[in-house]
Amino acid sequence: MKLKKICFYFLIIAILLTTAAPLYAEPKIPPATARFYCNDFADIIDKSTEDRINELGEEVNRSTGGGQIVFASVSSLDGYTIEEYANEMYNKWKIGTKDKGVLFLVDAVGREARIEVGYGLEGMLTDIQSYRLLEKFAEVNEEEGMEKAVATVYTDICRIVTGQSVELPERGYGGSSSKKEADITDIIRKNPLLIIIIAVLILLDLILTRGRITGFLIRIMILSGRRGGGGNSGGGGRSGGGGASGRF
Amino acid sequence: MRNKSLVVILIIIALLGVYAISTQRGLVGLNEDVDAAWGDIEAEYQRRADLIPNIVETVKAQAINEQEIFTQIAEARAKLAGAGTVEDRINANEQVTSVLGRLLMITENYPQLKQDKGFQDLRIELEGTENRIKVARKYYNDKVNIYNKRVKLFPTNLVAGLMGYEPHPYIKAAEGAENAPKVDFNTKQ
Repeated sequence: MKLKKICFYFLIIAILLTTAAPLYAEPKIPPATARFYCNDFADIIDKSTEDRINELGEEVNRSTGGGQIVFASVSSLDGYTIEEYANEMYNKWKIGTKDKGVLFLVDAVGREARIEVGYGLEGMLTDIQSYRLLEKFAEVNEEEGMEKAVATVYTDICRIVTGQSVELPERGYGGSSSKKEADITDIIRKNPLLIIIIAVLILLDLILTRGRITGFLIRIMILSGRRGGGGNSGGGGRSGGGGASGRF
Repeated sequence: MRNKSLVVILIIIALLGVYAISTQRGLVGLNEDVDAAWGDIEAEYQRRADLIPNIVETVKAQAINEQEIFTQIAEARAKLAGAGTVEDRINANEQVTSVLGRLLMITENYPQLKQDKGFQDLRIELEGTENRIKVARKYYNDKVNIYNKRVKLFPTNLVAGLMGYEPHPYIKAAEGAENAPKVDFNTKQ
């Protein structure tokens, strides 16, 4: 009897806790692509430009110590304003280490664009600059097409954020893992002595501890390799709604 | 026998004490989150308040005489300056939002203002600030939501009641304010 009563109360508490509906409905945001910097969901630019944007994004990320400039195109805002959608996307993707991030969002169907600036870059990329960039976007789009417009504005944002005259690379490479492998083979080719030393060390280890240290190192390498994964991800940033929106 | 029940009662009291302490610590943290979120809103409100004199001056400089709206703006600012409690400040700022929305509507009638670079920049800044306020408001409401649930729902409400934790007010947008000053400059006309 008593047990029944307790169960009943617990049930009520559980219902109360789960049915407390969220205050706001939120737009459904698709997950970012593996390379993170170019997310052309609406398919408005071609593959080679995507690769070039990704590559410049990675370069800016390295040179600014965690800054992230992300481009995304969508074909629907899920019924929300572009301001709400961009802010939600920014925060969900956690763009930029220490909030140093910019999201350049284009709604291809609604013909609206927004530059959403994270807290950490509000001082560098002001609302007025963002607005002027969107005016430029509309202009270039009209005169030279979407491909060029996206590339121009993305590059301009990177220039403002880095303070350097960076350029989109001539040609992008398809993935980030191939480069890493190339680096390792390079090192091996240049230092044949290194391999001999490592081989001797492994041999010694096999004789002295029956390969315990080697096994341990291999396990660490596998684990860290898995964590690396080759892709990029958000740096944990949040946006307070800085930036500007415009039509094109 | 009596000893045994005494021990049981002591254990129960100790457990309740531990529960009360951990709940209180949780409430302190959540309360801090709400305060910090409120601080963010205040900062954005301030940023907007700082823009108002500039906007009014720029409009007046174009020899636009809309005395009624200028009076309303002055009233809203006076009310803002006198607002002390969180609720008063929320209300006063909602009034500022709607008055500014009306001012922007009026400026639509003056094409010479649209051409004015200083005014254009101010409008972009104002739009940006309004958006920041919206974002900060949503963030604040989310934090209040989490905190208030703790304060109001059983069983944490018992501890909150004992320690004097009150629910925080939500910021509800004023009627029509949600879709108010949507600035659209169609520069190519």
